[in-house]
Amino acid sequence: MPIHDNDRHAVVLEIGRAYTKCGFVGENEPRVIIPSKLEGTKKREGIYLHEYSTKKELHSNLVKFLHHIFFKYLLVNHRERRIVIVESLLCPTEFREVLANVLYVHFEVPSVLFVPSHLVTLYTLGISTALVIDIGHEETTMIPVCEGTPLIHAWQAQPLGNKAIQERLESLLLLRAKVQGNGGQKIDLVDVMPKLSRAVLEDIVVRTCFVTTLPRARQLVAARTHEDGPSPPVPPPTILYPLSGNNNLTLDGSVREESAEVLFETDNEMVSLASMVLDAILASPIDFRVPLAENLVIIGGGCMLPGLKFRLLAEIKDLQQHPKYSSRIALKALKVHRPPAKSNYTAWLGGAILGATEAIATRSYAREVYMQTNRVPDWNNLADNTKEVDSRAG
Amino acid sequence: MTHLFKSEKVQYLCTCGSLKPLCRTYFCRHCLALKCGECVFHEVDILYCSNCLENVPPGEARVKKNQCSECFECPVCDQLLLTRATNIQIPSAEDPSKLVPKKMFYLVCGFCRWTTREAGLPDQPSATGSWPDSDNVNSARVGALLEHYRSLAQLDKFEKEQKRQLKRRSNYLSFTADKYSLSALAARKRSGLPFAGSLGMKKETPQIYKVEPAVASEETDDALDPDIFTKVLTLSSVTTIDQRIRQPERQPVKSEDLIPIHKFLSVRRSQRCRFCEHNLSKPEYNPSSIKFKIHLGAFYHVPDVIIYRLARDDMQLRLCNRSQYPTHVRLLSLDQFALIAHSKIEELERSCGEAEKEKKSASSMVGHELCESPATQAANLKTCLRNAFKEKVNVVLQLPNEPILLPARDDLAEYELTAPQNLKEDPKAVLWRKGNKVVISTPLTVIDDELEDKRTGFVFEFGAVRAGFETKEVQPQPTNVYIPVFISLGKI
Repeated sequence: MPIHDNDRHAVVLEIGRAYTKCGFVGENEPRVIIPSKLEGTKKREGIYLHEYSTKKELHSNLVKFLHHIFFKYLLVNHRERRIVIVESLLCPTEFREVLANVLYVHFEVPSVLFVPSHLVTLYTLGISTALVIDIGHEETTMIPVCEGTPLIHAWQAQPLGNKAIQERLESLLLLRAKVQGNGGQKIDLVDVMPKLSRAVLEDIVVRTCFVTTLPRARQLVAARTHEDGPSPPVPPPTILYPLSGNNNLTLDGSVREESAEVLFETDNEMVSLASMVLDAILASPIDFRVPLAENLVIIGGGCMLPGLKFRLLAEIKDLQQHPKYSSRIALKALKVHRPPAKSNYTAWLGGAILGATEAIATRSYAREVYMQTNRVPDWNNLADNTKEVDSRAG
Repeated sequence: MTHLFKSEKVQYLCTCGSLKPLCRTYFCRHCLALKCGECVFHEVDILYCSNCLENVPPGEARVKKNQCSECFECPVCDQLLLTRATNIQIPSAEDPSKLVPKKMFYLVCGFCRWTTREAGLPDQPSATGSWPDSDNVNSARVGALLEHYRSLAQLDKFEKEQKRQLKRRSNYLSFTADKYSLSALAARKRSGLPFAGSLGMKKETPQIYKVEPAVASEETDDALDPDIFTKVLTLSSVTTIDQRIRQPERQPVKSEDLIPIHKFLSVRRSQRCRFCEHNLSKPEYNPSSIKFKIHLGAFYHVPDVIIYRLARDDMQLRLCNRSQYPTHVRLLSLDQFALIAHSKIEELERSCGEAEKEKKSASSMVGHELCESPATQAANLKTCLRNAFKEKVNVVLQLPNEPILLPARDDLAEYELTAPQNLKEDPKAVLWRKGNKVVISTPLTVIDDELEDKRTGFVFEFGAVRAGFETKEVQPQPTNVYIPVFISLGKI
């Protein structure tokens, strides 16, 4: 029963902070995209995989979660499938180790191939140099890839993702929103519920929020900071959002427009999505700066908010004129790629393409080796990341 | 039925160290040990559609992406879609001026009233199978990329192989040349190699499948529609995230773009012991059958305990034997168990040493030999002992000293009115018995009053017959099995 038999396609898994993408190598899209959490019961809400307190808890959660994936969605025997894990280079070592342990020891998979998400994203484009911008739930990470090598020293990561937008939305709602009951009377939201659940916030962001244009955003800031400044732009119309029972939330147009502004606000340290892009380009070798700026790849579920990519380009162009960057960087143009996939599974698709090649046989880490060494190689471990080891492996 | 027996109060200690109610565990009759759902191997047995109960072979399931081709689910609310028929009038083929009725079909959700007409899909002339599938618009591009990277990987592998061959040969040559001062030509002749070119070159260099690299553009695909600032958003026209990710390749944003979703296939699993790889549970192949070919649920092999009566200082337990063999049960306190286990482990290890003399290593053993080897048994007892003493207990029970006979399950005995009275038993310990059920008295003493929730534990010692012995002519010889049981008593 050879495992590289064509009948037994390897499984590709990308366990994100919010959603997990899983499917088989060589396919165009994941079979399913499911929330990265254990299903809740009547008594308690589901637990997200990344929200764990001890390693033991994570271990048991991962066992349950992967069992669910293998037998409910993929319907395969895990002992005869190679696994490709698409993970960020900045994935916590603890999570990675527990995941490897669960796969090798509990599920006894024959081999696992860990691939860096930023790098494999380029496999969906057929290019070898690009700045990969991954806007996820928890954070946004950027790693420039030059001629097929991720430049780790130029990485950028900030907690600017969907979670930040949801938090901003919650605080804006609690500040301004009213709840309209059956009789038409309006009560402040704070008095009805002091906290909104993650599911409700996510739903509001996904269905109603958008990223506004740069001129409108500037106008908003000016109106807020100067008392006698220009008046704010006319907000989009207010809509009613059904909350529970007869209660409707009055969803102000300004709230819908301003929630995503958290990604572009520059605080004292001048950190926003735009500054991260320029910083990542500046940290790269000088000859690669122009090619990187002309090969931006924006992936991750976060970038699917309407208007985000458009705004990001406008912000970067604007920020280039800032004295902090104008003297150090001269970019001709900013260009964005359109991968042949929806943004939230672009990295997964890269893993699925890589996993369909010969590389899965030659580069996977076999179970026998893991059982002897009890560890998986990692770039940040000097035992794996030295020249001698590289030449031997090659 | 499981729900009836799924009491969280009485829990059995599984071999892996977790506590489970009896009906949630398996009993491996080869290892004679409890196995819970997390310490057995699960295997996919058959794939079937849970709606039409059609058995789908694995090859077909792979092609269809684990989806049933006939059954559909509502894209809005996940409920099953129903097929509705309707009559329309169409011009007849013979005489275009006349109208003839024709049956057409559409799908409707019985729960949220969504219909395929809402999605703009025309009614279909046949009830099933003709609904449009969602095709990935990018499949041609992804296919080309796949081909490109496959050929690259092939080339990479080829070059590596060549390098290895060249290296090996050059090493060999330099060695011979140095030692015997032969010219390279002579060395080649001697070793029978061709004069020029290398062996590897005979194989053709793989061709790289060229693919156009993607071109970036200065325009993004998500510029906002100016309408967004002025038009009132209708919430119901926008899909939720759950509706979007159910169709990963399309992820429609507008409700009108939703299309019916093929129902996902379900799977029937069989379970295997992690240690000896024997089947613990195997369902029948027919999806509509609820029977098992093999079913080693612990419920049918291990005596069951429930709390019969509970007071401040008295407790009665009901034991029930559902296996087909009568068995003698002894309840041991944890300390008694420790004594017995230690002496057993010693004995087993002694015989283990003898077995080693016969040069039988563990790796060469399979199946029965592995399960029955003294080394395995000793190891099992050790882990059981270690796990049992990890549990916290604050109540001790006064357990009956004598072994108690539990008759085998006999469905007819249910109808017999009189209990067999010829057993010599301590009437203080055994309160009553009927058929395969016995109620025993176990007075309790609280030893630690710190925690409000009280917990006690004891160890079952009972005889079980190892699988594979029933068929032999000799009387099956039961082996003693030890299973720790913990009971949560709550506040008493």
